[in-house]
Amino acid sequence: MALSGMRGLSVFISDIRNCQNKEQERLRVDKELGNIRTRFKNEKGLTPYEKKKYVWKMLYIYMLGYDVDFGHMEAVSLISAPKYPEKQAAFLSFCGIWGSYHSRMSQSFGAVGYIVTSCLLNENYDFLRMAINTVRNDIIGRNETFQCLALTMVGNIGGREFAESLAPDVQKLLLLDERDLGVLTSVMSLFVALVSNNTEAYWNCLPKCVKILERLARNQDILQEYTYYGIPSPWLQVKTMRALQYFPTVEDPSTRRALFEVLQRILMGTDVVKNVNKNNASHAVLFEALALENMTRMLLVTDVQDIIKRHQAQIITSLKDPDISIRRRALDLLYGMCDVTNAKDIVEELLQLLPEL
Amino acid sequence: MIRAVMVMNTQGKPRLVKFYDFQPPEKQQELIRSVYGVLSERADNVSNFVEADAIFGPGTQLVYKHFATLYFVFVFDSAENELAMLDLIQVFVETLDRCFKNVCELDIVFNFNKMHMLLDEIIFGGQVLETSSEQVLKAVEEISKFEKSSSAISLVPKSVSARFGR
Repeated sequence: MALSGMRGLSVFISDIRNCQNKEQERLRVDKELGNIRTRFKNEKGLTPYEKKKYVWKMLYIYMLGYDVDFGHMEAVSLISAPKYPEKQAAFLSFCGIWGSYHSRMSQSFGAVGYIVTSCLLNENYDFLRMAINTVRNDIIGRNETFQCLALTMVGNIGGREFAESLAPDVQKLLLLDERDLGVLTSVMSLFVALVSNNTEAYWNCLPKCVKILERLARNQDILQEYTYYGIPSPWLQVKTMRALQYFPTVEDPSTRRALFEVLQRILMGTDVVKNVNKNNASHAVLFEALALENMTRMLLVTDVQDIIKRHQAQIITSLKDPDISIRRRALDLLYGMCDVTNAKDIVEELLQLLPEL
Repeated sequence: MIRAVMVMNTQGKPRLVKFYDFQPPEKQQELIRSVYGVLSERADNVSNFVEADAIFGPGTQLVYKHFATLYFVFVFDSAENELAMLDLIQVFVETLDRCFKNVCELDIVFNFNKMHMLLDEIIFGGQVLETSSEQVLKAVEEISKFEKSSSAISLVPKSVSARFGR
């Protein structure tokens, strides 16, 4: 078994694991917090390694559900540490522990404006300003690794002001022509958010999305590492189709034809297979394609209905599934697919079910 | 977006917890407990999807996978495809398995710092960042290299480096 690489941390975790009950655990945690507090008090004697170790311990204690209300300054001082491990511990702990204070603070600030009412808030605000300054130094600095760390922290904590000030630059950067599927996946998440906000501004991106889908559906130039159980990045396929769902129509005929072809391929090509993971992934793509089809109505509706009807027996069986969420979905689906041809069967089933409810 | 990631054991002990939107600390513990309450009641033969409106607010869902003594739980809103989330849990677990060679609960308990690293490579600010476990492992290896090379420097006794400094 691999260990964390910090002996003190491993010992502490072992101790916690050996506790027989909650009371013992609390005692052990209190002892540790007391120890960290005293060690932090005469900070001079602490090496960066020790600080890092304590900050990791605090993050662990926090996860166990204990309040960690000190160590802010130490974490800030670790952010400005010149070495990677300390910096990393500090950034992570900020996202984990003190990030939540930050959000709480910005919420309070939104509500009460500049009137800082509580002492805690005041104290936190100072430490936060220090933290922001240090982070900014890392972002504008020359060290690429530190930039990455700083950006990771900012991204995970969020913060409205930050997002607003960065938005125009990010929009210019929209990398929809990128070939790397990892980059595309992240960009597509952002794109979905942007499009949901304002479809009009992104009409010119529509053909690009269709191009990405085409590439995935045809499995062209897809690295093995982005193929999940034989399916070219289902996440990217799903997200791209989600983005397309925001556009009411596709006007350009050649784009429309291309999209039509992709959807056809997905709808016709999805089969139920033995491997559960492959099944999940292919159906994730299939359902998203169905949703898109439904919205844009580019396929002949009957085609899809026929496909759904093939599964009617299975859907009816699902009405008796032990899982309530499956029963509910089955009911929704039966309701949606009911027409003149199958109404008799479906209603019969539902009537049988009624007394059991 | 993905609202939270939780790894907990079958007794409800949290092993890795990360929230991507603001939750006060007390609330976090309450949410962990409620999620455990739901999961521990579920039989093995039911689906991996649970509507989480009552716990995380309207429109939220959670999907989970149960491996040996651990639950892996992702909580997300309607902007995500639920099957894709299930697949993402699989990627996360497969990555852990490759990282720790046959991962078990103890690996996760004692390497929770590494768990954070791995998760940060896969999910960022509640969005899917990377789905290739190869790329994730590459990044984590690089980070470990950084750690090693920097701590090697710090191993030089203070007195020695001070003397050279002079």
